[in-house]
Parts: sequence; C-alpha cells; structure tokens
Amino acid sequence: MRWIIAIGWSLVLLACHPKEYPKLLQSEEIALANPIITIDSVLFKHQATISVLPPYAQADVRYTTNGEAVTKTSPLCSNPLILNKNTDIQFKAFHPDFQPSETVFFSVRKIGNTQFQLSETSSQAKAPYNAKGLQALSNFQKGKINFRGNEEWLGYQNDTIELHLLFDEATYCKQITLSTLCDHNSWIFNPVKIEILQNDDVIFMQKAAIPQASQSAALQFFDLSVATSLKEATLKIYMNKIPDWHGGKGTTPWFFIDEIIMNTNHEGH
Amino acid sequence: MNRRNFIKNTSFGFAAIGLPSFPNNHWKDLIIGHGSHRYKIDLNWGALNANFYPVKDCHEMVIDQKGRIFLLTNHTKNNVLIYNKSGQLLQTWGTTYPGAHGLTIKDEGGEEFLYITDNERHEVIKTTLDGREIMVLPYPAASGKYESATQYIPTETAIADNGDIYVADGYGLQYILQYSAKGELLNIFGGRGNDDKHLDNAHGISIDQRDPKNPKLLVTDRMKNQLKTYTFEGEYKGLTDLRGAYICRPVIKDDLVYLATIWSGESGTGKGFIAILDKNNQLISAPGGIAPEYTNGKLRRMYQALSVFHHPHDVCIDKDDNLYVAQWNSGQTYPIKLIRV
Repeated sequence: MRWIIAIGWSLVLLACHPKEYPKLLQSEEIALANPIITIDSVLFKHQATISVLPPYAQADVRYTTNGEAVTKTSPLCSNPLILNKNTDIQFKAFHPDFQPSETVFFSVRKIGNTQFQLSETSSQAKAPYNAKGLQALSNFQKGKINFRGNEEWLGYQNDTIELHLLFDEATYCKQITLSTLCDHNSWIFNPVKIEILQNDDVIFMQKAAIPQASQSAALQFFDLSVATSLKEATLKIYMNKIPDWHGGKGTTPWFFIDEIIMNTNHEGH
Repeated sequence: MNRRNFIKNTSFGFAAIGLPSFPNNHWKDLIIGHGSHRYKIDLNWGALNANFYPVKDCHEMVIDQKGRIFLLTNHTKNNVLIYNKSGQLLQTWGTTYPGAHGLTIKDEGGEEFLYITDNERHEVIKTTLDGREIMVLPYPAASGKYESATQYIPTETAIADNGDIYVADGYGLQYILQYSAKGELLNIFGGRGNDDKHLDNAHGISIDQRDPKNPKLLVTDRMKNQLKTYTFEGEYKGLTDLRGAYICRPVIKDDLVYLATIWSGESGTGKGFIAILDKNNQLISAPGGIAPEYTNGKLRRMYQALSVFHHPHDVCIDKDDNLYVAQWNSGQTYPIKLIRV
C-alpha cells in the first residue's frame, strides 16, 4: 500500500512538472554586463565627475562607498555622480529579467601641490615600461588599464623595489598613495609588503595576502598612512614569486606603478 | 555543471521536495540583437565530448556549398571539425596546425578549397575540404620586410576571383601580402604607422563584392576599432569607425557585414558581442552588445550589454541567416548558434 501511494504521488508530481527543459538560452540564465562607468579624472584637484550608464535598457545601477557589497537595496546611482574627496566606490547593475552584473570597483584620489624628487635606489623599471622615466610617477597622469603602449606606467620585475623621495623642505604628510595596476593574466601582481623608511627606520608597514586565484585586471590605490613630517623617505616594495596556480609560478612578477600621490591635508580623508 | 544539467537538476530538486513546478510559460527565451537582426541562442549547438574531440581556442568557421560547417581550432588532436547545421559532428581532420587561426573557403572552378593561416608555423596552408594539402606559403622572405619567419604571424586570408591570395599579417608586422594563385608574391602594403592607410592588428580580411562595379578589400584594424577599405592593388580608400568594437574579421553575406567583436568598450576592457553592418557599413544590430546609436553620423562607443559571449572570434552565416559563433579563450567551449527570429 505504501508503495502504491509513493508511486501515485510521484506520478502527480511528474504530471505537474514541465516535460522538457528549454533547449534555448533563457533570460534568467544570463547576467547583465557591467555598468558603463566613465570618469573624467581619477586624480582630481576639485572634483571627479563619473558618468554612469546601465548596460541594458531599464537596468538599475546601484552603488556603495562604504566597502559593503552592492545589493538590490543599495542607493541608486545618479548620472553623473560627483565626488570631491578620496572615494572607493563599487557599482553593480540589476534588472528583473537577468542575473546582476559583476561588481565594478573604482577609486578616485584628490591631489595636492606637494613637490618632491624621486630616484631609484636598487632597481630600475624595465623597457618597454619605462618610457617616461620617474617623472611619470609625479605628473598626475593616470595610466590606462590596457597598459601596453601606455607610457604612464613604470614596470619593475624585481623581488624588491626601492624608490627614494626627497622633498624641498620638511613637509607634513598624512598619507602617501601608490597608484598601481594588477593584471594577473599579464603577470602583473600586487606587492605582498610595502614599507616606508625614514633614516633607515621603518615608519610604516603594510602587508597583503597572497592571492589564491586569478583576479581581473584592475587599477588600484595603496593608501599608506604616514601622519608625520618628512624631508625624505624610502618606499620599499616587496614582491613574492608568482603563486603555484598561475602559469608563471615561481618566477618574479611585474609591479606596475603610474603615480605617487602625497596627501598633505591635516583634515580628514 | 553545464547549463542543461543545472536546469535539469534544479527542476528535479523542486519536484522531489514537492514544490509546485513552474508553468511552461515560466521560460523566457533570451533574444539578443536589434531591429531586423535579432536572435535566440542555442549554447549547446556545437558541444562535443571533449575527451574525444577537444578544442582549445575556436578561432574561425566557414560553411561550404553543402551547408557543412567547418570549425578551425588550435587543438592538434583535431584542427578541423566538420558539423552539419544541427550541430552533429560529421568528420574531423588535421593534427599539424598548432597555431591554426584563420580559415577561408573558396570555390575555385567548381571545387572548394580551404586556406588555413597558422601563426605558430608562420605559414598559410591551402587544403582540400578533406584536409589534403595543396600548397604551403612560407614567410615572405622575398618581400624584404621581414628579418625572420617569427616576425610573420599571419591571421587571415582572402581569395579573389582571379585566384590571388591576400594574407593579413595581423599579429606580425601588419602588412597585407598579395600572392598569385601559384604563390608568387605580387605586392605588399599596409604595415605599421600613424596614417589611416596603416594598420594596428590587421586581424581579418575579406573580398567585398557588394557593389559589383567596385569590388574591394575589407580589412579589420582591430586595435583602432576600424574597418578599412583598399583596392585590390593596395590603395587605401577609406575607413568605418566602430568605436569600442574590437572587430576580428569581416564576413559578408548578401548586403551585410558580420563581425565577431572580441572585446569592447574603453581600451577593450569589456567582453565581446557580434556586430552587423548594413550595405553602407552602418552598425544596425549588435547581438550581445548595447543598441547602436549614431549622433551626427558618429557611433557611440560600443559595450557588451549581456554576458552571453566571452571572446567572440568569428561568425559564420547559413542560408537561413542563422549565425554560428566561435570563441577564443573561452574555457574550451564549442561554437554557439544564434537562431534568427
């Protein structure tokens, strides 16, 4: 009797069920492409204007600036979006018929007028990623994510990279920001440690985790909190060998940098 | 888990725990494209057992007069896979083309031939449809432009009605080389430079006979997002700007040009879509991309709209105007069919 009931119940369920799954691709199986974001200047003096367009008609673009993941209830993006302070912002597109887009990360940084001289002490950028020399790091010009042929980038392939900064006079420095590129497909990785030294004393140190999987190409900022007066300083950048999951495992990766930004503002972020 | 299994397993899950199943009208076929050229998608059209018929990059596809569809991959277990329109595998051949990249078909006096560009062998190889080699064009040392074979990395061919063979050196020095049907080098033009006549990733080439009185060559300048026109003698005649569209090769059927677009957007950081141009080379539909819009004759920058494609590398069109899309670097996936609606 129990078996008869079970078989009967199964037949009822099967009768309710669609006989075939669809052969063709369904809307709900596909994700939106990323929102279309255009920034007039990632490095700005007064404000950055961000143009935000959805990838698909009637899609919403939402965002956060507090580091939390973007969800369907995050604020809707205005277009354009105006930013006037250092901001790390995330965007994501939503549409009822499709899966959400990937999250798009952008950062903007406010620049000042602090002048400094730069020199390489133990390593040099390698051709062809040294076209403009060290002046590329203080000309307020961002490199493009498609770095090939873009002369704003300096590319190093050393285990340790040292850059010496010399200021005209002792200058209060709240933060030093390194503007870098990470592109694992192109063997360009983030540092695993960054130090700032003053008179051989380490006054700042930041470590980063070794990536466990490949990440998409991204423009990045490393904000190094200094909060002291500097006449000179040395940036020491440490690279790990490429991890085992990558085709270049065990070799020295590239480090790409296009700008060093001084934040001399005593005020907040 | 593939798409079919995902759907199948998910549905079984609902049934097993006694949840109400979806009504049949729950399903909503995705339609991509714009205006008169819109398509449904069969992701599994060309799917095969990768243990027996593996692919690496699916680079290009052509269709013969019998309607058989030839796929070229750089997997040397089977460089050429031949399908029927239903996606059934008919035949495979080819084990000696590690850099198999470009595939062109040409009817030459009643018999069709294939032209394969191999960018690891630095050669162009002419074969019969069943894989018998007829001719090999080595690197053009006699041109005086190349110091070694490694500088010559051909990506595509186009065959004129008089038998002349045009080769695009799209990953090499960016020249277009014109050979006679017998393989004699006749002319060389294009190359790198800053003028419009120069090329930067001359990835694809085709013979454009849409205007019978004015046949010409179409060449994709992929990094500049431009489709360029030359005479058969190599004189530059003009260009079409397709901002944001990193176009691979022009494929012409009737009055239209179809182009797989491998990347999109600013600096090519976005994924690709398919571009369809009308007889005036205006973009009229972009399956997988945003709607084409022109302002004062200028196309807005193109981006991907839906994540249907990864890196579309070539498109093949059948007599019913369905499209077959081969993709580069997409996780060894097989070609996709777009069914015109």
